[in-house]
Parts: sequence; structure tokens; C-alpha cells
Amino acid sequence: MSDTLLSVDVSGLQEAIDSARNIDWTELTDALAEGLINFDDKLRGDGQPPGNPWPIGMIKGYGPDKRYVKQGTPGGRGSGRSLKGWKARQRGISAVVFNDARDKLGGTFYAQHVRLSGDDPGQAAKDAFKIFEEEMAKVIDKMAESLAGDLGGD
Amino acid sequence: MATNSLGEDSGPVDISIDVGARMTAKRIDIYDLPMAAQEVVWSIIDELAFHLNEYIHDVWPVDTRASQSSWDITADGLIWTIRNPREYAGFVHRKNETGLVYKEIAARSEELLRQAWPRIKAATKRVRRSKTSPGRLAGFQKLLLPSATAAAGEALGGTIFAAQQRAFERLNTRSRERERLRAR
Repeated sequence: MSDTLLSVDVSGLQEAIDSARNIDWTELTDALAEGLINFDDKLRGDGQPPGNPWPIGMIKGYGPDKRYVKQGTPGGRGSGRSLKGWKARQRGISAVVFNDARDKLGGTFYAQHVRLSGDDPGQAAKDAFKIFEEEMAKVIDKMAESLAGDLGGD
Repeated sequence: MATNSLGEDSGPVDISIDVGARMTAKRIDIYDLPMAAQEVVWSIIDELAFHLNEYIHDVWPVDTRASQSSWDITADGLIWTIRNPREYAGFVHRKNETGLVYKEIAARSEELLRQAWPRIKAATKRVRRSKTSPGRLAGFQKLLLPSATAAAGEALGGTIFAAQQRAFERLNTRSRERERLRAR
């Protein structure tokens, strides 16, 4: 990935839209919304540290004493800060997903560097993109199916 | 005081604040605001969103992390989005306490906005006097869909938020988790 912006090939869908006579936009927007929710669900996995697939750091202490510690540290608890950073916005059949997690000190965006221990920096974002691609492929299939149903006309 | 626009007894929570409407109520003409002034106000709301996120990170009770990770707090143009589509987010309380935590978040958001208000007013006055070229906000808006930047109704009633609410109500979180685990 050379950029933080990701894209998905929708050429097949464009063809289906062009061929459809009646388009049920509600079905299409619902399909996209469902895909975005599934993407979010899959990123969260079981929601337990160290995170599967999106990493969940371990923290200890409260307030100003709060700090990151190694996984498995007694008394540590999951953070989920960057998991909470995932957001989705949708309008019609367009959508954008982004992660705006910021460092507590300085407020730097850091989701693009997140990784599980032993992985390369940014691996989590690459995995997220794969999941996004998979979910969007399913959405496109669903949309195409809906549009093909409309081919029969009234 | 920000209240849950979805209703007191609603599971999902939407306590978003339309800062643009508040500005209008305080006689700041947002429709005539130069891009540079919008940029300053947006960055202030963005900063508030950051602080509120930190607050939630500190005060929200965590069990499975599902409701914590569902908080959506962002500066969408002049709308300060503060919402959580989980079907039980509005009922979350600490162990042995009855107070609803989202109400603390609503109170904190109002407190943060109150503290920032002099800066918002000063920024709009200051920038009105000097014309500046479009900057960070314009760049940011290019990356976002109209629903995330434009009219209040669209941002507050965002399609994805509505769909998430529907999905969580249709199939509760526990069932979704079971289904996801089975699918692996």
C-alpha cells in the first residue's frame, strides 16, 4: 500500500447498474451498510487482547499513570484504543472507512503503524484492507444479484 | 445539555452536537463564514472530539469491548458526532451503580464545548478580518463524503449508523459473536 486511501474494483457492478432497468436503491444501500458492519465485526474478532485480527494493546494503571505493558502482564487490561478508531460513513452506495485513532500524547494518528507483536509495522492495516476487499466483494455480488433481479422489469 | 436524540429509553445513543446551529443561535452567521474560519472551528471541534475520546477511554466500563469500540466521535464539518449504535449502549452503567455512563459523556461534551466557546468566537471574529486560502479543512473535506461534511440532517442520521442500529437490534451482540465464531 503506497497510500492510506484504498479502492475496490467495482467495474462489474457498474456494468450491472448500466444494464438494470429498475434499481432498488434501498436494497443496494442496505447491502453496503451490512458489508461495512461485517467489516467492523470481523476486525474486532473476539475483542480480547492481543486482538484477532486487529491488535489490542495491554494497559495498566489509571488516569495519568495509565501506560502500555507487555501482553499477559498481571493486572493488565486490554486497551482497544485503535480499534475504537475505526469509523465508517455512508451515503447511498458510496462509503468511506477510516481510522482516526490518535496518540494520547501529541495526538498523532497512528493506525497505519499498528501491528501485532512479531509482525511488520502496518501489517494490521494491510490485513484490514484484505478484510475490506473481501467484504466489499460480497457486497458487490449482493448488489449485482439485486440488479439482476431488476432486469426482469415490471 | 446534550440528550439522547434517539430517546431516553433507546439502547443506541446519539448525543451529537450541531455546533453550527449553536453558533447560529449565538448570532454567528455560519453561511457567510470564510473557509479559513470554518477550518479553525473545525479544528477546535476536532480537538474536542480527541479529548472526549480520551475521556471515554478512561470512564467507559469494559467487558467485551464491544460497546467501547462502537463509540463514534468525530468532527464532521460543524457537527460534533458523538454516538454509539450498540443496542445496549444507553443502558451501560458501572458495577453497583445505577447512573448511566453515556450521561456523563453528554455532560463532559457540553463542558468541553463551553470551555472552547471563547476560542470559537474569537476565531470567527479574527478570521473574518483576514482572507486566507482554503487549507486543511478543504483538504479533509475532499476525502470525505457529503454526509460527513455537509448538512446537519445527513450527518446526524447517517445511513451507516441507522443500519448498525437496525443490525444490532435484529441480531443482538451475543448472537453476532456466536455466529462470527462459528464462521471461523
